[in-house]
Amino acid sequence: MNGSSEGDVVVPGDVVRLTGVKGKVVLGPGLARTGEGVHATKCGVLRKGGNNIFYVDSRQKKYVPAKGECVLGVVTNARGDMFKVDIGSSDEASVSYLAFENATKKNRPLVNVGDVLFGRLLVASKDMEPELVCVDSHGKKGRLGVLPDGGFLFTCSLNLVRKLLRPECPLLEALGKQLAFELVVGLNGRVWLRTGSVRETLLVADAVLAYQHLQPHQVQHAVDQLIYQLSSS
Amino acid sequence: MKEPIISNCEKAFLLEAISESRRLDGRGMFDYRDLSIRFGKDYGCCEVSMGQTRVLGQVSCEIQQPKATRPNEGLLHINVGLSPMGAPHFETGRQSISSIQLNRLLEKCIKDSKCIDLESLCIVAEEKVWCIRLDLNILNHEGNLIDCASVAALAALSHFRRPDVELTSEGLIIYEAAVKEPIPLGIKHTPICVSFAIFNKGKNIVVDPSELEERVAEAEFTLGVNGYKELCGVHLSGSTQSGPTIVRQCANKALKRAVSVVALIKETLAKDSELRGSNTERGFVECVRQGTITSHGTPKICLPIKHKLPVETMETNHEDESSCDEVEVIGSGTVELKNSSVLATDTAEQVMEVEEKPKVEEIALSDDEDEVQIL
Repeated sequence: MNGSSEGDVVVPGDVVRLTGVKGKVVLGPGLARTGEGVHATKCGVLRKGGNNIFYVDSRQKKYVPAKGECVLGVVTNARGDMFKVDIGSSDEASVSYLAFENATKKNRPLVNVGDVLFGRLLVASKDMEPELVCVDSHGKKGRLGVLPDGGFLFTCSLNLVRKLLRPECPLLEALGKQLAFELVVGLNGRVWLRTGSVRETLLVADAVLAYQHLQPHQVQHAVDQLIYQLSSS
Repeated sequence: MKEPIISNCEKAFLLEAISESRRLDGRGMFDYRDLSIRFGKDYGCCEVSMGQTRVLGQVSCEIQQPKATRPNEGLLHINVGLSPMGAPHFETGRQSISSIQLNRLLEKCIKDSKCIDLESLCIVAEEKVWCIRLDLNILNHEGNLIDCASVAALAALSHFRRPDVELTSEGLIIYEAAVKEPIPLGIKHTPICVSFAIFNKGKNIVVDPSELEERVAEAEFTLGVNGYKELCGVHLSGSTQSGPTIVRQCANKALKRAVSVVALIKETLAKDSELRGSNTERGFVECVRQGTITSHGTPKICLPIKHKLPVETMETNHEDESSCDEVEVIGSGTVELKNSSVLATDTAEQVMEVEEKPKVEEIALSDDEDEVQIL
């Protein structure tokens, strides 16, 4: 039986053959090891990253937590030692009140129900509740923490999120030259956006969502058109 | 599963946008989403979608003993089913507050306004009457369930036909559809519900609220109106500061809406009966057979905004592109290239694209026009 190799479209159950690979192989999302072989567990395109990382590039909306990923969540319960955060996974994530910068037992962080939190997943196991932290290993918050007021949160597909997070994202680069905006992208398919006005926020959100179907060479034109729309009003 | 919580920033942003007379999906304050009605193969089966909200209606009938208090009237039961398919927080089995509210509103609008001629459903007084059962299944919940459900209810009831019966000395004969033509229900008037969401202490009103708008709104005002511009139900949930002007304004909008929706239902019914008469294929199956499983659905962007960026082609309607050849849209589906003497290869390719996909271009154009109007 012929297995799928890099660049192929795979469906769950397909045998994946990692040919011509030497050394240690890392199986990313969408691949699972069953005995001797490797099988696909998602529909998508089989891809290879650096350091022999193999994964399936799929279009899904349901977020499955993975350790180390930065996600955006909404606080649903801010009492007690562990706050509850809705990150779109099957189970709500928890975050300790001590997992914020400068938080001590006497100095509780100011977190309210409904706040948007940007955190990193510390524990993400299929048998356990995911746990978030809002500090790095040095106790600094960096970009994590509760996001300020005045933004807007919307959801998109996980595929689009990964597209936005690529090191050179033509859309954000082109938009950034023309407009001032703050954008926080969570790997769970949520995007937080803040600009100067409602109209700008709606247009940038629109551009981000339209980016899902834009080719790289179309981006500059789309952004020009957006700025034209904005200035003509 | 609990209903997912709305973050404070979404609420604040929505309220700010509404106070600036903008809606997140790019609609105007008094724009409705697209309404479409499709009938199934059986009588009394219909699917109604308003934007992404979809409701399936099915009417069935059986013979029962009438109520002792009304021995010569048929029965009408309305049942709204909320299942996790519509939204993850809907539960099956037990009745939730929202399903009871939906049920009661529809009963008020349809049953209590005596829309169906129940006396014509009597076969033998005190013994046998037709019991009509209307089941409404929520297939997808994206806001304004009540409007969608009421349209589905009315469309299904107007579409339904019960078998003909005859009383003989031996007993009751129920004829099959093949033997005797089934009989439609007697519909006296055509009530539908029109909802409004009220924001900022009654200052801002929107029609056909989306799910987020529904949840952020202070109050939701639902009016039952029929095609003859008569009021047959009023419901206000939540609390807001409203005066007679708001009620009158909403009522006027609702009346206009009801007339257009009822006209659409009648038009679709006429088309369906024409299809049935000509014996061509009909029903939901046809939609699947047309090629894609998503034929029924509308393309969804999580935050659908009207002034969408044209995705496929971006050649026309651009003044700032002096280097490009000018492309003129003459009519539907035709695109002409002007000043084509200096044709670079890449522009030629792009123009080819325009010619291949004239429809997309058109949509982009009309969207732009809309944009000018709303801003």
